[in-house]
This record gives sequence, C-alpha cells and structure tokens, in this order.
Amino acid sequence: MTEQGLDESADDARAQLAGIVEFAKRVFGFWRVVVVVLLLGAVAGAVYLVLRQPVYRSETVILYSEGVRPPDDEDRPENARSVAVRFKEILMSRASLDMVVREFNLYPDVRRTRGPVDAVEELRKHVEYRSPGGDTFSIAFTGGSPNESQRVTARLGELVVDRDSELRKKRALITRDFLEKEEHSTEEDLRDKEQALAAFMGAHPRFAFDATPQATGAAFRATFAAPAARQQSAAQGRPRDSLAIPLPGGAPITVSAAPTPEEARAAAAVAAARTNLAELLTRFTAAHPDVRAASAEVERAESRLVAAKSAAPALRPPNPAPSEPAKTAEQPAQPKPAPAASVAPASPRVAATPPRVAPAPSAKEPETVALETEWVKLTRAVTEARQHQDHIEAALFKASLSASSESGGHGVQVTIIDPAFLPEKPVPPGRAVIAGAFLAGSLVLGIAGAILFALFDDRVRSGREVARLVPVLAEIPRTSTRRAHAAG
Amino acid sequence: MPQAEILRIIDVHGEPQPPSERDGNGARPDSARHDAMITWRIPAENVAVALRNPKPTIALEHAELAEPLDPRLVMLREPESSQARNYRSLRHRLMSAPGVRVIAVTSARPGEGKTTCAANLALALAEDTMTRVLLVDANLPRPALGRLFGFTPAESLVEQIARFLDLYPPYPVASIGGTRVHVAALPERTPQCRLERSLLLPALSELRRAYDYIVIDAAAVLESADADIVGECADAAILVARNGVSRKADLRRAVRQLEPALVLGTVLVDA
Repeated sequence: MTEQGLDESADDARAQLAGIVEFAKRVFGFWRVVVVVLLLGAVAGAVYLVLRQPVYRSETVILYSEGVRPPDDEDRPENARSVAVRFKEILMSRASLDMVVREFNLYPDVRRTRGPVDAVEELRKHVEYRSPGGDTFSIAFTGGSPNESQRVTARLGELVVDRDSELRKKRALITRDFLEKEEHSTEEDLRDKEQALAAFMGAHPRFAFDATPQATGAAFRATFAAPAARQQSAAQGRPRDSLAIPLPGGAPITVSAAPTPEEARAAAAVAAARTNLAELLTRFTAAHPDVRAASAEVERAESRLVAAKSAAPALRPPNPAPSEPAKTAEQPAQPKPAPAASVAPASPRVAATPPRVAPAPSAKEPETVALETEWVKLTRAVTEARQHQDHIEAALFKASLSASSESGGHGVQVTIIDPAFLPEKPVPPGRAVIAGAFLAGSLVLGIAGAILFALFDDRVRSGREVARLVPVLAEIPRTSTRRAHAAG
Repeated sequence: MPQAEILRIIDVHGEPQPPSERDGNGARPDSARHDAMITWRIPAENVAVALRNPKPTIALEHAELAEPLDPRLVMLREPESSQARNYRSLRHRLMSAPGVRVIAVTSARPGEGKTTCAANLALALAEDTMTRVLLVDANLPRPALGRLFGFTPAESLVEQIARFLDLYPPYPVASIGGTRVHVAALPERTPQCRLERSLLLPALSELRRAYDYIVIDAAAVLESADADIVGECADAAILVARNGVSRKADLRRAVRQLEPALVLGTVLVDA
C-alpha cells in the first residue's frame, strides 16, 4: 500500500472513530433519559420489595426399597419410573391436597373468595416433586413461614408413605381373594371334565388304551368293567382272565387277563395304530398315502401281537373272521360273533386283501368319527382344565405370599429418610439481589432508551454534521454565561 | 481614484453634532477616539451628489449602551475570547466574498442565535475604523436588537416599510455609544405586519450608499416569509444553527426555501 493509501486508510479510521465518538456524545446528551428510567426502576424495585412476601422452602426425601417378594418375581423388580409416577399421583391427587389444605388452613383468602378447588390448585403450584432417579424421591413445599413450610412438607411425605402402603395391602388382599375364588371355580370345572371323560371311557373302554397320558389306570379299570368284554369272554368260553378288547377298525383283539409285557405292548400298539387309522380315515380316503401307511402300521402291529401271543400260546382264543380293510373303520365297536383265533389272521386278513382304492363310506363311519371327536374333545378339555388349575394355583401362591408380606410389613418399604427441615432463610434471591437486578435492568433500559433517542435525534451536534448540509463559515464556541443562550 | 472628501455627520436638523459626551467618562478609548472622529468616507463622484442633495441619507439618533452589557455582546465584553476570534474569522470570510455588502442573518427556527450572531458580526465588521456598518432589525415577529443594546428607537425604518408608509431618506438609525455600529432597531411591540420587497429594496439601495456593510437580523425562515424577502434583497444570507438545538431537516428546508438567494454558509453557535 502506498503512503497515500495509508494516509487515506488512517483518515478513514479516524473519521470512523470520530463518528463513534460523536454518537457516544450524542447518547450522553440524553443522560436525563437514563436518570429518569433509573429512578423509575428504583421506585419499581422498592415497591416490589415492599409488596413481596418472603417465601420459605422445606423438603423431605422418601426412600423406596423392595421387600419380600414371591420367588418368581425376584427377577422382575418394580419399574422405578412407575413408582415415581405412582408417588406423584398420590401426592398431587385432589383428595390428598384438599386434606392438607383443610388441616393447615392454607390459603384462607382463596378458599373464601374462589372456593376449595382453587385453594387446592394454589397448593399444587407450591408443591414440588422430584424423582432424580434411583430409589429416592423428594417432596418440597414453599410457604409463607418456616414453620408452615416444615409442617406441610412433613405431612405430605407421611401422606405419600401411608397411602402407598394402604394401596399395596389392599391390592394384595384383593388379588388373593380373587384367585381363591378362581381356584374353586377351576377345581369344579376340572372335576366336571374328568367325570365326563371317565364316563366316556366307561362307555367306550376301547379308548382306554389310547396312548395318552390320561389313559393310565383308568384305562385298565374301564376295560375290566366293560360289560361287553365280560360277555364276550364268557360266550367265547375264555377264561375270565382273558379279555377281548373291541377296538375300532377291525376285529377285537384278545389278550390274556394277565398279559405279558410284550403282549400288552403289542396290543397297545395295535390299538394305537388302529386309532390313528380311524382318525385318518375321517379326514382322507383310503387311497391317501397317510391312510395306506397307517394301514401298513396296523398290519405290522397285528403281526407283532400275533408274535407276542405265539410266545405265550396258553389261553389264546380263536381269532374272529377276517373283514375287509375298508370296513375296519365301519365297524368300530361291534365285536364279531364268529370266534377269532388270533389277531394274526386278522392282520393277514387285512394284509391278504389288497388295499382298495377309495373305499366307499359306510353307515358306520359317522359314528366312529363322532366318537373319536368326542374322545379328543374330552381329553383336551381335561388337559386344559388341569393347566388352568395349575396356573391359578401358582398365581394364588404368589398372591398369598404378597398379601402376607404386605400385611406383616415385610413387603415394599417406603420410608422417610430425610425429614422435613426448618428453613432458616427465605427462598433466594434476597432483597439486595432483587434491588440490584432492578437497578441494573433500569440502567440497561435507560441506556437503550438514550441510544434510541440518539438514533432518532435529528439535531446537529457538530460542525461536521452541518457541513454535510451547508458549508460552515464559523463555529462559535459556547459562552460561559447561560444568559447568552436565552434568546436568539 | 480621487481622494474622498470627508463629511461630518449631519443630523435631521442639519446641524453637526459634537463628539460624544462619553469621552473620558468610562467609554472605551477606541470608541472615544471613534466618536471624536465620526467621519464618513464617500466616493468622490458622490460628493457632488451629496453636495447637490443636501438631504441626508440617515437620521441619526444617539443611544447609550445599557449597563451592564448584555453577555451576548462578546465582541464588547470579551474581545479577546475565542468567540470574538471566531466572529472575526467570520468577518474575514465575508470580506473575502466579492460583492457581498448586505448580509441577511437568519436561522431555520427562532431561538437559534441569529440576533446574537448578527450583532457580533456587525461589531466585528465595525472594528475596522474605516468601515461603516449598519445593523438592521428586520425580525418583525420577534424584534430583539433594541433589547440587546438596551434602547428603544423613536422611529424604525423597517416598521415604516412594513406599514407601507412612504419612506424616504433620511432613514432613522441609532448610533450606539461605545460602538461604531449604527442600529436600525424595531420597537418591541410591533403590530402584525410584513415586509414589502418593493419598499425594502430601494431603502437598502439608498443605505448602501451610506454604509459599507449592512447586516440584517431577519426573521426565522420557517417562521416568517419576511426572511425570504430579506434574502432576496440582500447580497447573501447566512444561516445560523445552534448546536444541539437546530435540526438537520429544518436546515435543509430553510436552504431550499431561501432559494434563489445566495446562502454563503452556516454559523454554528454553541459548538
């Protein structure tokens, strides 16, 4: 940059600085505005301090801790957030606050002029609830005197503790009572269903050997008590200790009254296979691959039974006459009048006759379907009822534990760990701070007002400003005496 | 140029007046000297006219400065002050302006210092012993020169002009004791009237012949239209602005309103 350029830059800088100084002088010219605003601010601050009543704040802290809980619930502690929400709802409920308002006679003017509802709202504004996280919760109240603040705060804390405990006990007892009633109901229901199942098995003993967990001792007892089985045994001249168990899907099988384990297993397998075949025939035709596989399984099971009988040849009654495979589903419950030597020929009877494709349905099939469906329904009902019973018993156990622990004071513990203290000083800010704030604010406003006035002031303040309009011939400085400025 | 003859002052009665009785009585030494030599210098070509026309241009009355002096008269109270120096600087600038002999001193608004400026400017111009200066009060709404110097004129040429009265020489002016300035003041209570250009211009033309400089204290431009008339009749106008009082918008308007009169510039008082 050349020397001339530097000079010009310096001149510009000086001109700018001179302009700033001029503006500052102009602003200082409105010092009266600042003084006036400052005085107004001081007056306003004084009035505010006189009218403002000091307020005092007290605080109490509550601790929430888990007590004795049912075993399964130990891994599921209550959510801290839900606890905080519950405490807040208890604290801020209208009933709780209204009780506090009446007890301590708070806000009498509000109650008299606007009613108790507004008094509760007024109290709510002065109650502070904080949940900083964890298991502690703080309750604070701001009142007009230290004693009032302390007593109200303490009462609020006690209120939360008592109400929460009361609610917990009530809930536990209600739950327990409800579950007890439910238990009675489920017991009755289970009993009814078991009776129905037993009646069905009594009427249809062949279902007793179903490979279901329920068909245990009841299956054998039903089989023994089946009149048709006894009659058949007597007619067939079989010893009383032999049994002809009618089974669906074919000739009844005969086992000894005291069958060997192998024979019993083989008979059960035949029964299961035939039942499966019967069920499939209710859904598919004989040509279905599953039906054919089931038929083959029936043949194999009958073969094994024959083999098992062969291993115990004594008391082997003659098998009944063979029947068509397609008719196995048609003759579910009627024993064959013709003596059947063994099941083995029945199986060969079934095996000798080639499986027919798509046998025609007979009149007996709907009856078989109905029985099977009924059997399934009854067993399922019993199973469900027992499961329901188990659930109810487990829940009742937990509820009883909870009720006992809550009643005995061993449940959730909500205690006041930091009682309400007596405040010694009013809530800040103090009078000095307020006065200072008013003065500072007034000063800022006054200066801002002076700046505004200066910005909008159109009066000339220097020869430079005048020179922008008209050439300045002379600048006469101010005279020392004020009388010289009286009239132009 | 032929040597000018010196004539003595002739009053309305045509009798020469003795020097001021203030000599030696506390009057300023320079003013006493000036009173003793009240002389006029007129061009030689006008001597014959003057001799042929014995009617005087002015009718002079004598007035004493009020004591104490008004503090606004800084040229008299504090002749060595900075204010006085600045007025002298203004005087120099005016004297440098060619053809400027009748100067109208006005302002945008009343109370901005035009009377003070006009009076001190006239006093500054009159410091030159060879310079004749007339100070005219043409501020009909607010006449102030009489009060400033402390006297009430018996007659006022401006008032007569404003009343549309026939006005012929000699024009009434006052000689202020202790100064070398003649003042054509207005009485304090001037009825509502306005200046007439057709009367003011010839009067000023006549007075030009008797004075080297005529300083006219005009009304405020934005207050009265008389300022426009004075500005037109004068050779140039000076706008007076007071620091912290005059507004820029008023100054702009005043300059525009004075057109086509020549506005030499502004004098900023209380700077």
